[in-house]
Amino acid sequence: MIRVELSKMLRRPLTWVTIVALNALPTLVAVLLALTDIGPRPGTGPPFLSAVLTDGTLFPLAALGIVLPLFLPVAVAVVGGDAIAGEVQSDTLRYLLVRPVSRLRLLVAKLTSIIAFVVLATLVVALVAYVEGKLLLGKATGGVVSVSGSALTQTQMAERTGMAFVYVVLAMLGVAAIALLLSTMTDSAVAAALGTIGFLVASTVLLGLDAAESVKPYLVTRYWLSFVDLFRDPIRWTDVIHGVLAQLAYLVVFAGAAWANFATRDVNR
Amino acid sequence: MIPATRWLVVALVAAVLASLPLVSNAVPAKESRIGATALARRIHDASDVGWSGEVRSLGSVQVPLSGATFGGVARLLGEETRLRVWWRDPENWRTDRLRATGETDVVRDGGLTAQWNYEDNQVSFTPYSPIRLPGDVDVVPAALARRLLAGARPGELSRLPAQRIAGRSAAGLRLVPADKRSTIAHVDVWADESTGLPLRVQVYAEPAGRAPVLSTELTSLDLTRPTVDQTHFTFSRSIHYSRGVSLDAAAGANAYAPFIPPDTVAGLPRRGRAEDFGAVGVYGRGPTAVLAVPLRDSIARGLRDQLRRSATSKETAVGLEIQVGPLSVLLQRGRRGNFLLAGTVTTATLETAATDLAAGVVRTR
Amino acid sequence: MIRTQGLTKSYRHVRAVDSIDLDVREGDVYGFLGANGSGKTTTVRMLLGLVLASQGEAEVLGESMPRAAKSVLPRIGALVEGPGAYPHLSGRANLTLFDSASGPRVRRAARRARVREVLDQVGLDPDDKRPTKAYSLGMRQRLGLAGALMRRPPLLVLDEPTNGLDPQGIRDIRELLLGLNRAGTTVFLSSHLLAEIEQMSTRIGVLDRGRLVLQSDMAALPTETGLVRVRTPDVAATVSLLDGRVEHREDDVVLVRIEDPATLNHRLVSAGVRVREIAPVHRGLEEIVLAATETAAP
Repeated sequence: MIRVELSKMLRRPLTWVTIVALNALPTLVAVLLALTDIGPRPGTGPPFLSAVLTDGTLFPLAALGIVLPLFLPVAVAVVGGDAIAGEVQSDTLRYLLVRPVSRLRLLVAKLTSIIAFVVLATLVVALVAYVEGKLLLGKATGGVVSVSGSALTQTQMAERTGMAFVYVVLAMLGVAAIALLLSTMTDSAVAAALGTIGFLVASTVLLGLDAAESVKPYLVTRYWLSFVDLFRDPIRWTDVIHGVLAQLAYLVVFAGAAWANFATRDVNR
Repeated sequence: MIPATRWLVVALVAAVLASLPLVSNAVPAKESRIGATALARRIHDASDVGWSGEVRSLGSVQVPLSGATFGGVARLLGEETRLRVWWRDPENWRTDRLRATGETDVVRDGGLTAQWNYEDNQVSFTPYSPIRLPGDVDVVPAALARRLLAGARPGELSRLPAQRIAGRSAAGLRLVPADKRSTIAHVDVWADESTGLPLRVQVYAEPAGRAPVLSTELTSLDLTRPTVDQTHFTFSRSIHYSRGVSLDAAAGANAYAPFIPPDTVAGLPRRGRAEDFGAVGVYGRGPTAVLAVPLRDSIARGLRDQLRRSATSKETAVGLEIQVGPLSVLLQRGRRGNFLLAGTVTTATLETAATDLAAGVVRTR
Repeated sequence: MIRTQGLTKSYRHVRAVDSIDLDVREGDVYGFLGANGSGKTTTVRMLLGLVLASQGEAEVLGESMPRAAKSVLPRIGALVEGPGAYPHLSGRANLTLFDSASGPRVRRAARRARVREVLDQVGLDPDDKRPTKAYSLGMRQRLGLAGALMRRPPLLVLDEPTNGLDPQGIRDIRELLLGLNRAGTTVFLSSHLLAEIEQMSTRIGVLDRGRLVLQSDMAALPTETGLVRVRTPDVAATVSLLDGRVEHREDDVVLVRIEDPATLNHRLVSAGVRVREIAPVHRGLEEIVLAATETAAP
C-alpha cells in the first residue's frame, strides 16, 4: 500500500504544481538579491539571507528559511488535507477499503506519502537554490562562516546542512498529522487544508503574544526556525531537540486521533 | 476496540506528552537554613565559579531610545534577551546573544573584548574598559546579582522560599533598599544551593508589583568551568576585522572628556576607582544608583530629539527629564558641557544630583 | 452467500435500514429492488464493512462482517454507488493501482494480462491511454465493473451497475453478468429498475423505506391470479354459459375466474362457443412489488 501511495503521489499533477510554486519565491528572492545587492537589516527577514550576498553556497539554507515559515507548511496542509478527503472526492476511498486495504494501513501509507512529499519538496527547493546560489549570488573565497563567526570546514558544513535538511522535514510532521486528522473528519480536501492552515496561523499568532508564554512550548510552530541553531558554534542542541520531540509528540497525538476517528467511521460517500 | 476507548487512549497519550515539559521543574526545591547575610556573602564569593548555560532575560521598561548608541540599553530594559554564556571567571567569558536569524557575541579575554555580529559579518576588538553602557553581560544573573547586592546592609536582607531553577535547588534572598530615594521596591535573587551562583534575579519597582520590571534567569546550567578554548575567539578568515578604542564608540569617546566628576551627588557617594572611570561618574549603593556621563554636543543633540518625541518627557529648570518605570533620565545642558544622568532614583533626587554635578565638576582643560 | 439477521442502521432518529433478514444463496442472481432512498446503498455498504451496523448480524461468504473483512472482501467484486477512479490516470493504470493496493503478491506480467482481459470483457479498449476524466459516464461504469471482476470473485455485489449505460451497453453487461452467473458466480444486484431485475434475477428482495417487504425466488412468486382471459366472437354466449364467473367483459374479451384454463376451454368448446384465444392471466413483477409495498405501508 505504501508503494501504491508513493506512486500515486508522484504521478499527481498537484504534487509537481506545488513543488514548482514552492520554488518560485526563493528564485524571485535570489534574482532580486543578485540585481540589487541589498540584504535585509540584522534581525529582520529570513535567516542566512544577509550572508548569501557574500557566500552563495548558503542560499539553499536561506531558501529553506524562506519557505519554512509559510509556504512549505501550506503545501503540506494542501497535500495532507487531500489524503483521505481527496479519496472521498474522487469516489475512490470506498474502492480502496473494499479491496480491502485496512484503514490503519491506509492512514500509515498516507502519512508516509505526505512525508515523502516533504522530503521531495525540500530536496528540490534545496537543489534549485544551490544552483541559483552558484549562478547568481556571492562567491566567497575564505570558506563558510558559522553564525558564531568561526570557520566551518567543508565536512562540517555538509553535516550541518544535512541535519538542517532532516530537521526541516521533521518540522513538518506536526502539520502533516494535523492535516491527516482533519482530512479524516471532512469530505472536503479544501476544508481540511484550510483548517490546518488556520491551526498554523493561530499557533503563529500565539507565538508573538507575551501573555501566551505558558502555552508556547506546545505550539507546533515554536521551534521551526531553530535549524539556525545548527550553524552556531558550538551547535545549540536544546531547541533542535525540543523541536524534534515536539513534532514527534504532535505526530503521535494527531495521527492517533486520526486513527481513532477513522477506524470505525462510516464511509458514506 | 470501541471508538470511545480509542479516543480515551489518544487523550491519555496527549495528556502524558503535554505534561513532560513540566516534569523537570516539578521536583520540589530543597529548603536551606542558611541566613540572609550568609547567603549574600556566598553569592558575592561565587564570582569565581565557572559555568556555562543559557540566560533568558525579560525587561518591561520601555525606554524611548533607539539607534546604535542607546538602542542596546533600551532593548535590555524593554525586551526579551536570550544568551548563551560561557563563564570562566569575571575576566574571561563569552556571551552569545541569540537571534532567530543570527547572533551578536561579546567575548572578554582578559584585557581584550571582541564583539561579533553575524549579519554584518564583522568583528571588532577593543581593549577592556569598565566605562561602557550596560550590555548583554550585565543581565547575566551572576553579574547583575553581584552589582545589586553590593554594599547591602543586613537590615535590608531577608530570606525567600527556595525554588527549583534550571533543575537545581535555589535559595532565595530579598533585598529591600532602605534608601528612600530609590525607585526600586525590592530585588529578589535565587542562588544555587551548593555553589552560591545566582540563577535568577528579579527587580520590582512597586512593593506589591505582580510582574518584575526586569527578570533574568538561567534556563540551563552546567557547573563545569569552560575550557580556555570555549571562551577564546576563533574566527574565520573571511570576516571583516576592526579595532576600536571602546566597545560602544559614543560612550567611550565621551569618557575621555576633560572632566572630573565630584565625589558625591545628592548625598550618594561615587563608586569604583576614580582613575578607572575618567569623566564618568557612577554613584550610589546596590540598586540605588545614578550614572552621570558627559556627552558630546552631536550625541546630546540626537538624544535630546529622541527624548523630546516621547510624550512623557518634560523640560524643567535643570534639564530635559523623563521617567520610565523605575528609571529616571535627565539630560542636562550646563555651561561646562552636556551630562546625561540616569538612575533608579526619584526624579527629585536626580535633579538634586544634576545640580550637585553642575556645581562640583572640574574641567581639566 | 449473504445472510443477515435483524440488520439495522439508524442515524439519530431515522432508521435507514430497519431489521432486514437477507438470504442470498450460492448461484443466485439476487435482485435487490427498492426506490432511491429506500436504504439499498446503506445495506450494501454494511455488507462490505464501509458502514457499521447499529444492530444485527451480517454474514458474507460464510463469515461474519465486518469482523472477517480481511478474508471476505478479497473474494467479493464490488461496485458501490457509482464507479470511482483517479481522474488523471488511464483506466489501465487505475486497475493496476487498485489491484496492487492490497492482497496477495501478483506477478507484474500476470496482472497486466488480467487487466487487459477484464477491460476487454467489459468492452473497453485496453490500449486507451486517455485519463479517466475524459471518459463518459458509461465508460466509467464499465471501468468500475472491470475493477470488480479483476480477481474473479465468487460473489459480485453490484449497486446500480447499468447506470449511465446506453441500451446496447445495458444488454452487453446483462449478457456478461448472466455468463458469469452460469459459470458459477453469485451476483447480488441492487437496482431501482424493475425491468432490469425482472430480466436477470433468479431471486429478489424488495426494500421499502428500510424494510424488506418481500423476499422470494422468482419462480415462487405468486403470479397466479386465478383469472383466464378469453377472446371470442360469441361474447354473449360465453357470459351466459359462465354467469357468475365472469369478472369483466370488454369488446370481444372476457375475464373468467377459474382455476384451470383447460377445463374452461373444454366447457366452452363443448358448448359450441368459438374461442380465438385463451390464456391464464399472470401478474407482472411490478404489480407484485407494488402490492407488497402497499401492504407494508402504515
